[in-house]
Amino acid sequence: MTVADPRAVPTARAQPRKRRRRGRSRPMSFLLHLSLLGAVVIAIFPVFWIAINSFKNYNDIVNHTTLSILPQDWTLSNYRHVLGAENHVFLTWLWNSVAIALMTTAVGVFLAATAGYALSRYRFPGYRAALNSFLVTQMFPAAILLVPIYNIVVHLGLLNTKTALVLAYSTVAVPFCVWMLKGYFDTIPISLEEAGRIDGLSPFGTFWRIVVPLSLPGLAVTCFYTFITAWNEVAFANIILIQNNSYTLPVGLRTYVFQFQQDWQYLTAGAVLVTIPAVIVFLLAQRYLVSGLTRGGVKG
Amino acid sequence: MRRRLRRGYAQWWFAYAMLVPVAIVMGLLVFYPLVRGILFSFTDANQYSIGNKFQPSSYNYIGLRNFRDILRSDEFRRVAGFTAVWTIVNVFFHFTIGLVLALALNRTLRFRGTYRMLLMVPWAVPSFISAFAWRFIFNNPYGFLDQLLQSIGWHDPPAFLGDPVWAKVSVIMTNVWLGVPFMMVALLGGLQAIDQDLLDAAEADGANAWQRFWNVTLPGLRPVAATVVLLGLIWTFNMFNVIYLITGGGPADATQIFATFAYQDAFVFKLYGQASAYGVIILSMLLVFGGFYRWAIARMGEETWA
Amino acid sequence: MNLSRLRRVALALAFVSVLVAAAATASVRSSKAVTLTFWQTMNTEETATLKALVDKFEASHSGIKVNMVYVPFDQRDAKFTAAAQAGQAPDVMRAEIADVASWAAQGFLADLTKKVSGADKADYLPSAFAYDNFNGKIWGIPQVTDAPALLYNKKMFKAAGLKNPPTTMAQLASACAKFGKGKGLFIRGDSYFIQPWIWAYGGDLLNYAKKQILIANKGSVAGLTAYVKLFHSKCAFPDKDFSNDYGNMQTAFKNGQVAMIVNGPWSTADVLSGPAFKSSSNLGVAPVPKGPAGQGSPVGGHSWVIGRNSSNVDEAYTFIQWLSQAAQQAQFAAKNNLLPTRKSAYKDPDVRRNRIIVDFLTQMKVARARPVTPQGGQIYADFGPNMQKALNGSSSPQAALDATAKAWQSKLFPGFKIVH
Repeated sequence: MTVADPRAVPTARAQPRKRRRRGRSRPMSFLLHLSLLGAVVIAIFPVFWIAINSFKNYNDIVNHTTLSILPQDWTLSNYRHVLGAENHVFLTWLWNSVAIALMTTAVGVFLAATAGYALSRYRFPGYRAALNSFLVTQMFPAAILLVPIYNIVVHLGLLNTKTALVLAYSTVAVPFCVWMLKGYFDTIPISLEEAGRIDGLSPFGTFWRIVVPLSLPGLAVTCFYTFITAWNEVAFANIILIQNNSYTLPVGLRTYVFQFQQDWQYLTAGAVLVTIPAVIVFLLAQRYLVSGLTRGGVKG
Repeated sequence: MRRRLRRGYAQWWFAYAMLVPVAIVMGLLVFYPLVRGILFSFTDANQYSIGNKFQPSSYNYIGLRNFRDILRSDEFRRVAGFTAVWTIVNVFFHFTIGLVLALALNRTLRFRGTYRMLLMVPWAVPSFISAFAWRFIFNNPYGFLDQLLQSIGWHDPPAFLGDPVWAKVSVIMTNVWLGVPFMMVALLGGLQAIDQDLLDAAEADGANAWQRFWNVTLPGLRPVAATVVLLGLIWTFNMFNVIYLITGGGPADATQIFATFAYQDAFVFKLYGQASAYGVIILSMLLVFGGFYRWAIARMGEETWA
Repeated sequence: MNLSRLRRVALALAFVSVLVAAAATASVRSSKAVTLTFWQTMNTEETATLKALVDKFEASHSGIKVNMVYVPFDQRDAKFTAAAQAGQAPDVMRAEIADVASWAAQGFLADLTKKVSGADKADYLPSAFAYDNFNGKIWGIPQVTDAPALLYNKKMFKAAGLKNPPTTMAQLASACAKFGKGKGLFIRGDSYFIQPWIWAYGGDLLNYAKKQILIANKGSVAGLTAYVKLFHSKCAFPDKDFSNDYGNMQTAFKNGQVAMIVNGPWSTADVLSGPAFKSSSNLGVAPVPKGPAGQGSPVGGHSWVIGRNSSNVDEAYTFIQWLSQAAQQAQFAAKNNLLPTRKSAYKDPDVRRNRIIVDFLTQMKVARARPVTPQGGQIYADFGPNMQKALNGSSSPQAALDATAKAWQSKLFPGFKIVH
């Protein structure tokens, strides 16, 4: 399989060949659109449901014995409560989540890119072992590692800190990213780097100046995946964060709904607020997701 | 010999240097806990004997007894059964629905970009939010599904989270909803990488749509499909959030998979020795499975993992 | 060095020394102020009362600041033990009574034996204070005591032609039948709340002194069988989702969709906020009915404890002792209908007049204490799922209780004998 021009970022539209456009019959077209619409409704409905309920009062949410979709009275009181409660602790949670996710992305991308590059360009002794170990570490159920990692965090004096979570999340996200980036780097021809070396660049220089700019889709996927992993994570954060104002958003939101208290109205408002940054990051990265995932990475 | 070693070192120093940061982080946070976990699995440690700042540890080494007890217990068989069902059913639907959607999106289509973006929403939304959303939707009698069914005449809707069978269906449904976008995107990319020439040639030879799909598209997808299915199997096997947040493993342990069951042992019952033994068992199963899978793929003649 | 330079240097030195002196006195002053970390697990209504009391405490005790943090009740054990292991436990914690022995056994609590005064010891209710004694030492002071009772909607009762709440299990079944389909009684799938039935039919959980596990004996099986029968009866509110049924029960009762529920004093403030109980006299409280072989409801409650690594044990004790004084307990009684744990608090006229508290006291008279053991809180973790299996029919009551007994024996009480 040849790669015509490594600079071209293949989006879903760019296709070197003319796409054959068989005249699709009207009914077929209609059916296609209908089924896609159906799939979209299923994909979106839970998010829509949460959003629409965030504008309802508590009684409006839980008291109906008949179906009611739209709010009886639209209200912003849930949002006001969530944002203002306990001295705007929600904003602290938001800040914690953002900081941790960004730091994890930086650390994770750095680790994955360096390791992926090494594995792509060099066939050194221990190469096979390293590659296998990345595959194996993906197989660990994180729930099992919770107790040992908790003990290490305590020994290092890092309980309740962001550093502990950044390290834990990097560990979880890096193996997949290394694998994926290695495959992506594999598709970049070595001739470009050799040209760079002849021009006098160091090994790190060729990595930084030639390979990285060409790998933006792959790096975009890595960033997206790492950010989302850190943003969404609940189990580790629950164990490691023990002070209210170090909570991340998932841990904070859990205080609204648990066995003896079901403040659905605050949970839905909080959920909408939490989803917005994740969706923004997603929209930024989604252009690259299709190509970045498959061009190099997922093929191994 | 020494010159070869020295040359070897000079050649590879950069590779090793690039790997050192990762090695440190992973060594600290993965391999060291793993080793400790393995050691704990041979003990009877619980919350009172594990020792802490204020009192020394007092657990005993009991050899393989944890493993014997676990493998012999009814619970293990039940949890193993549902874990297998959970993993296979989920990945099956992830793959088939993902493939169907990828095929649909791989054509020129008005609003294609919009469709694709909206279909990826379950992936963008944090999974714990989705879990709460679905839990709320499944609530009897105040959730959306119950009230929808009642309004069309079904007056005793099933207990989506309370009935052992329905609870399994509900968590699987939620996880399928969560996992399809990833498969769809990966397979879409795989479809786009299939050489159009081959398809044109096949059509010129008189093959119909189904034959083209079966003989050109599917084989062309195999490398991508093999990888995403393996990833999907591993991720689904270990998927903790969905089950923990929606049913907590209930009702009556009906929806427990290994990941949630081991978590419960560690954090509810505080039986650290036993939970570690579970972890070792889970890891061993995955390693064996992973090895087998790769052997099978290699046998099929596709790329090796190097 | 010429003279002007010397002067400049001298001025600088003087300036610096003034700063240092100011800093020194400031730090001396601030070192007197102590900040206590206080983790509390109360529900929304109780937290409001607590906050007002904390403010009052800070106003009257200059030099002690209280940093109050809310911890969801079902995470209190995980969070407290995780923090305590790292030496970062809070100064003050609200522990459920079963937690006290468990945390003390792990070494996480400060020993309060020397701090509790004789007058206090005599004033605390013995049944509540018992949970704070473990291994011959005192590890906490009681905050609140409670037991679930039968809560009912008086208006719905009148409409169904019932004058009084049921007093026996047979009356409970016939009263329930008088209400329409699904409107009589809410039966939860929770093993804490099934205990009244176990005791009503002659069963029990444990005999700690005799080292016996009694959960699978004839009486217990009879109790679970009766409970399952009630669960499946037409008048029981359809409870399809055990993990959410506490919220569903409260919602249904608050809206007047069900006539009777079993719940404790902590829930009354929430109940009274519902549309069916705008007039608080509509809420009836009666003891859980007695059965053919007994009667009982589990004693629960909470205590104040102090973390072992606290560097402010004296101030922390001052705080919790103040919180547990009669005047403060009377506040919780008045605003949240919580039962005080001091004999002197019951002399308070507001408490004496509080009808709901008086009614709950009738229940407390026939409530049964739980054994004080480190594993006391964990018995429900195995009991719950097995009981749910009996409720949804995947297991017979006998088999479910046998499984529970075996689990308790292997996980929690090795060496105990299972009695049938």
